Amino acid sequence: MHKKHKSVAITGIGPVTAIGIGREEFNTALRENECGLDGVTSFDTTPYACKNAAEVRDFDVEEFLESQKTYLDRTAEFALAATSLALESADLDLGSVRKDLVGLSVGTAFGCLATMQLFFSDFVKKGARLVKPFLFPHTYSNTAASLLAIEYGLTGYHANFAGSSAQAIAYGVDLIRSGKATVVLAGGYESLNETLFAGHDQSGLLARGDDISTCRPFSDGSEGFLLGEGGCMIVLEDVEHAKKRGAPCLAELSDVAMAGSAELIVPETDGVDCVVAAANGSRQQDAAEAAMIRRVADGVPIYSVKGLIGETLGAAGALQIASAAALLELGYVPPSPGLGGDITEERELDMQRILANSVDRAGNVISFTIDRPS
Amino acid sequence: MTRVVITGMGVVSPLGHGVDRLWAALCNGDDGIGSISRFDTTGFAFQQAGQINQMPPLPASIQAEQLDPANHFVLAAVDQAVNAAQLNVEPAIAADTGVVLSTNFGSSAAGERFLAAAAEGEKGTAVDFGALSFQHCAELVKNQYGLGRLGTVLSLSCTSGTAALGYGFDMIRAGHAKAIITGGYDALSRFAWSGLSVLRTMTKDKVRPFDKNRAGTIFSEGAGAIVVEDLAHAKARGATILAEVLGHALNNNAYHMTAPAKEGAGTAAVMAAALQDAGLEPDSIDHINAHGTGTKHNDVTETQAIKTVFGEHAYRIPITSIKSMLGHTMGATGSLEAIASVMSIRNNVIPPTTNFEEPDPECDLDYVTNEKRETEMKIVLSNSAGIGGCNAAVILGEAEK
Repeated sequence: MHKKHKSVAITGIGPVTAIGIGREEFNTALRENECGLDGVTSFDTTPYACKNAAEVRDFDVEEFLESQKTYLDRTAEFALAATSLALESADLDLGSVRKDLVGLSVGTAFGCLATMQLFFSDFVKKGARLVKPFLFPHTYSNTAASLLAIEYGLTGYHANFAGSSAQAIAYGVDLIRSGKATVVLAGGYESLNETLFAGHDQSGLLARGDDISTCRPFSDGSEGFLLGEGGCMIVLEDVEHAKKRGAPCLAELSDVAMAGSAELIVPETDGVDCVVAAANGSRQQDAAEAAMIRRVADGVPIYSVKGLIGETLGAAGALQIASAAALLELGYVPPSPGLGGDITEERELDMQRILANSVDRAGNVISFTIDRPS
Repeated sequence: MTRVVITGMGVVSPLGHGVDRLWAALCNGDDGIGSISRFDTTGFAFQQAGQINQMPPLPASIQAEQLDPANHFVLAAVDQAVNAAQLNVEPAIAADTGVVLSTNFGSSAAGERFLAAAAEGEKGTAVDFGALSFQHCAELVKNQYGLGRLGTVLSLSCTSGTAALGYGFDMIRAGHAKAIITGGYDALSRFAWSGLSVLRTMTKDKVRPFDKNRAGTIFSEGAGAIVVEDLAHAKARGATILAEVLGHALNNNAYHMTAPAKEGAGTAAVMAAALQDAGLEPDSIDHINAHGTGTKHNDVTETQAIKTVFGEHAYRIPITSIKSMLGHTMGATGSLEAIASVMSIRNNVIPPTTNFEEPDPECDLDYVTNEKRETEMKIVLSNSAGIGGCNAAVILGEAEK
């Protein structure tokens, strides 16, 4: 098989989603086709045309903390939980590795938007003198990245993408290939809050009404997407480093392709057995992705997880990889909820390689090939 | 290994727009700080900033009146850089070109309108909401020049500009692109000012980096754009090479959200990592363009970090902080300081650290104070640090003759 670059081992995966927290729960939920989309309960949706989202419920960040915190935005809570879960899944004791060679590369589209709103609402209503100073450092896009570095003593390479976890993971792969890190904690997170929901609702991007079936990836009848929330961190590791410490190799990330639009992307697709599509029910974006898939991997089964966990924005790229790793492990392509157009039936399938796509708000497309560990 | 060079630069700053205008002002020791008029400052503890009073020119194809100020700064700086690089993005090379921006607050005037409406229980507009996703500014640049690669936006507090340059450099070295427009930016806004005013880092005095009586920094706005390019690609198209990017690093103190790490450990580590990335020994550095914010903590810890990394050589390196004149331009600061570093290399001149009156025994290195200094140099290191414990350093070298 033609390979330009060295594969990178995926030794840990820590998903936090509406359908499961932790790799085992998440994989089981995919297998069982559990849907996390439901009427929003964390705020009143009366003013909005959209009524649904995939909320993470029964979540308590304290289960995942190394020490008590005075304040955490919900986005930072997901970041901390996903990192704790990823490290546990990788059986990685950070005390046993060179910390300066552990990189952190993360992404989030709207960062700590809920805290931005909280902080600025005081300014609007009470004036500059009465804002809460302690909130301000928690309003930055990179607040969660800094909290992760502090929590785990990560003094190595450090990057925060105000966009997507797919970009963060792609950079993580480069950091390992170039030898700047032996381990990279890479991924992303996004939390649902009324400001995020209101903005998307106002933009007319969301599927309207009470019925969740109006959001249908790859379907002509889809009326838009539905938001989700959560996080996912992935432990990327140099293959030799992983072998040496006897780490569990869950999958290998063999290649990354990036482009500014679906029309331009040409991922390495030799031997792809399945595509985990980024499609979320936005008709234009889904159509562009369908054309791209027909061009590079025509005829293989397509899976979309967003009908279960919603569009998780900054977390989505990492969750696409978590889904691909789950399908490889399960040897099964679940039915894709709501999938119209080129749909495939669920099937047992022995797969070696899955193409996992990610599309962000700016139309950037990033494709990863995720392989069964050799 | 792919070598990466700088082929174009652009500046939007409180000391004027365009690389040459900024450079002349810096060498002259001009002061870019004045009163804020961008928004009503009633109730704010601080009224002074480095504000852009005259909007920079834009390409004719862009409707200036509909632009958020931050987007206006970026598009103007990028256009200068693209013109200087004579980079004509034909469809054939589109797939090898991209943009990497970096910011703290993004298109904050539009974004805060949405937040303000929500605070009052009203509905903001979809356009204003779109500004809360920082990626939309990269999208504007991508569309303006037909760039086919990713439109990326990093956000790493006040290391942002340096990080954008370093990440663009990495993208080219990894083979993802041949030419990338990098840029750091931020604009003054009520949101930023309500937070920065309560951080206890600003002063009502002048910014006096490394002075014993320094009392804090003053925040400013602006944008700096730098075109980085694969050396072979630049040579093949006959581009003028302004400087070479030799190495960079990004890290985190992993210590505290707002307090600086003891003895500047993270800053020392990031400079050491940048030297390692460049394959250079510490004594090859001829000049440091410091972060030098003018706060008590930063300037002393940065001084300590320089001593840790450079040992005896630390006392031989001339150091300056242009924040004494520009103020702290937030996400733009790393870009504008990298541009000043390139100009230093090209002109063998170090702009001064102004407002310097009384030496601080704890800051005992060779700072270039009050007057510019002429000195031969080939390799310069530019340092940045930011809230949340972020550090970044980039090393720039003379263009191959």
